Amino acid sequence: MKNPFVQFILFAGTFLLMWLGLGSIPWMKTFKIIEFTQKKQEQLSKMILDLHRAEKQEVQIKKIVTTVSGIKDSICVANGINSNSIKIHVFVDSDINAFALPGGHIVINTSLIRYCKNADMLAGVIAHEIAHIELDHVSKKITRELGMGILITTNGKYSAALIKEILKTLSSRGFDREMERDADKKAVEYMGNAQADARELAYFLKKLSETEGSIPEQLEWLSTHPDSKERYTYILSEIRDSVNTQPIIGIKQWEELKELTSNLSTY
Amino acid sequence: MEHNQTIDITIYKPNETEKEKAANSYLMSLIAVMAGTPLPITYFLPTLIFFLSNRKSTPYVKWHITQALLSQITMFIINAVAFTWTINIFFLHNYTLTDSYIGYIITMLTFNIFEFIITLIAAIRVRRGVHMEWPFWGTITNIFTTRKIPV
Repeated sequence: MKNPFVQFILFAGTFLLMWLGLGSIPWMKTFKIIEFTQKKQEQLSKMILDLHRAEKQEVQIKKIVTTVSGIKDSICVANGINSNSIKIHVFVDSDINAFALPGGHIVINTSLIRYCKNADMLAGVIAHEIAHIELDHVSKKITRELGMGILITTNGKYSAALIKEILKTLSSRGFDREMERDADKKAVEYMGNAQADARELAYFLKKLSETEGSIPEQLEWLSTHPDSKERYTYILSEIRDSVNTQPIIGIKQWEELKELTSNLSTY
Repeated sequence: MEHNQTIDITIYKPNETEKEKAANSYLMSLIAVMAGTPLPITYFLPTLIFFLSNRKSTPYVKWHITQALLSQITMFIINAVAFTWTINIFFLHNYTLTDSYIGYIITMLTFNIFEFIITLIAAIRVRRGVHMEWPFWGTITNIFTTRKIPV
């Protein structure tokens, strides 16, 4: 027992065993930490959506909402994601933009739908936003920019100014490069599992980067997701297998969606 | 004058100055804790400063300062990991709160409380002239410094 090496092993072993033992106790579940933050995120999302509804018109046309939600459902089902946990909201807005909110909400602007050449292109954007949600980027982004207190505040009262700030943070500032890359990688995986053409997400980014400068004020999605050209190359490099792809929805259904949104959009 | 005869530290009878200095080496690490400083490096700094300023001290004092310093270095590593992890969760938001993190914090706190208690006991006993040799840290101290005291 006087051997220092044996004593070091005993000391470090005791520490590691204690850590592993205590670390295997479900503290988060016991103290309902996850449920608490999820509830807070849902509360926050509701307030953000209410504020957004006061400024922009939410599309109520069932055909539009169900078609876009159908694309989301296809991606979710193919990837083992509970599709009920992701909710789609379509807003009439001239900004070509889509963004994820806390609590699994995705906001899609009508101009974005119109900007997409086909349903797989829109599916690529939706898959990217689902990836942000699944990778917990939304709450990370909020806590990083606005502090941990946002999600752990106990009274649940958020000022209108704070809600506006969160909405601005999520809709126009985007995520950092690492998060975008992770979300792109995940989106390619989601699209592949849904047998959709993941290249369309890359083509969407290429299209955005090519039109950069001509209509910059409308390209919110581009400004929030920097280095579109780099991401285009990265996404294409991530698509390894040329599997047989199928359109995520029928062409007729897509044309119908485009027509319905064009009547609403100001783009 | 040369000291040719040595005795083991366990039977050595230190004088008052040696007892006080040896006991202070343990108390140094408790100062920062009692002052409530949040950074783990501040727990280790007083002991390090005390160690550096008493390098020329008697072998008895040097032995106890080394033991106190080694225990503080170990705790510094454990605390620094906890500190970095916490900063990354609550301020930099690179990681999320997990069961593993909570487990680490409880383990770290347990080791800190244990170390605090044994340090306090060591400070009291060494002040009375009783030699305290901890497992692990005491063994390593014997590698770095002699336990043979010249008489």
